[in-house]
Amino acid sequence: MQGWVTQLRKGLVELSVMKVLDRDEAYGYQILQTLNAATRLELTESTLYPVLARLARDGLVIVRPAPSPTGPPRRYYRLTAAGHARLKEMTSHWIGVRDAVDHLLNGDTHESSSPQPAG
Amino acid sequence: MSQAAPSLPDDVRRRIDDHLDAIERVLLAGEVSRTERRTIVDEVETQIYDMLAARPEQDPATAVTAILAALDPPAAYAGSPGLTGQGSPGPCGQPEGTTTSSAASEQAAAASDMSKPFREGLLIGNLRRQWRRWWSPSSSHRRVSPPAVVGAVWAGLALFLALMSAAAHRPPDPLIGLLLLVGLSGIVGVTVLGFVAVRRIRRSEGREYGLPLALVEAFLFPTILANLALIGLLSATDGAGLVVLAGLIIIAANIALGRYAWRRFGTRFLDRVGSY
Repeated sequence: MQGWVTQLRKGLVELSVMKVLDRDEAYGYQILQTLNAATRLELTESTLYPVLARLARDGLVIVRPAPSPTGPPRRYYRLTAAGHARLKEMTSHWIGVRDAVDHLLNGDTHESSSPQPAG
Repeated sequence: MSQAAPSLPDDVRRRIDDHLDAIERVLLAGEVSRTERRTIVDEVETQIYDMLAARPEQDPATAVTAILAALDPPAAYAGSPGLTGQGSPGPCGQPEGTTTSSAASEQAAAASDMSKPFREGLLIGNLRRQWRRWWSPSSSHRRVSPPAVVGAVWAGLALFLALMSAAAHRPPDPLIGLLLLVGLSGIVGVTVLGFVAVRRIRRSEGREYGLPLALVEAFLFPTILANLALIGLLSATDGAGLVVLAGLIIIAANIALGRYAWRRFGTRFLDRVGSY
């Protein structure tokens, strides 16, 4: 069961990270704290930072280094235009999947697949 | 790594560096690109300093011990999802069987070294990746066709073993039997690899070469078998005069086979590509 839960969470990390960056730029640890406070994804840094590196590599986010009061410079991530487009697409897919699974779990499959009576 | 890191005692700073170096080693073993490695390691370093700043009441050594214990162990970065060169990930980017260490000593051990099975897993995974990368058709640079190289090695081994077994004059022990199996399987394997190499070379538009080698591999063992069959057939007939005839037939058969092979595969390829 735990394996299924973690796989499910893993698939949602990218979407969640991009959603956090949709509103404003944020640095890595800030994203981690935001996600763990707002969701039950229970993210850790070994999951988040590779995702950020990949998003940067794919041109979906841009990085702005800025001095930090606590130590090394922070890297602020912001969605690019391609990132916003990808987020919109992913959100649409997620809503479709979520609705389909909700229908399935609520036992709505019979109604939705039954032919409508004529006339 | 840091440009504005606050001053920490050397031993504390060293422990942080050890942790970051261990993460980088894991990522390096997974062939993650330098840019991505730097991004990940810098993020972890920044997080450590942010976490340190949130513990002003603790002395740095105690705080770093607690922070490193709370962080994922370096092994958790193996198989990070979607990164360059990384294999399949475990749950949440963490490899199967690894857990977050709760004790500082375990954390230090994880930072300084990876477990043997994990290292072996990385080694096997790396070898498999290297093999797949080498075997798959190249899109960037010219090189000898990989199936032709494997076929050449296999053919050499098969011929060597055949000669060895012919010279041994004794029943094969298990090791010899295994080697003979490798050698005998080469009759089919080398031939197949030869044809695979010919096909790949012809379709590679010049990125793979070694057509003569591939043709030799494709027809080496069929030619040897054909020759042995002819020799057997002709030696079954009586008469010393037939020896000359047998020799002529064998030579003619080999020339015909060679001409067929080159006309069938070689010239058409040269027409299309212009080099081999």
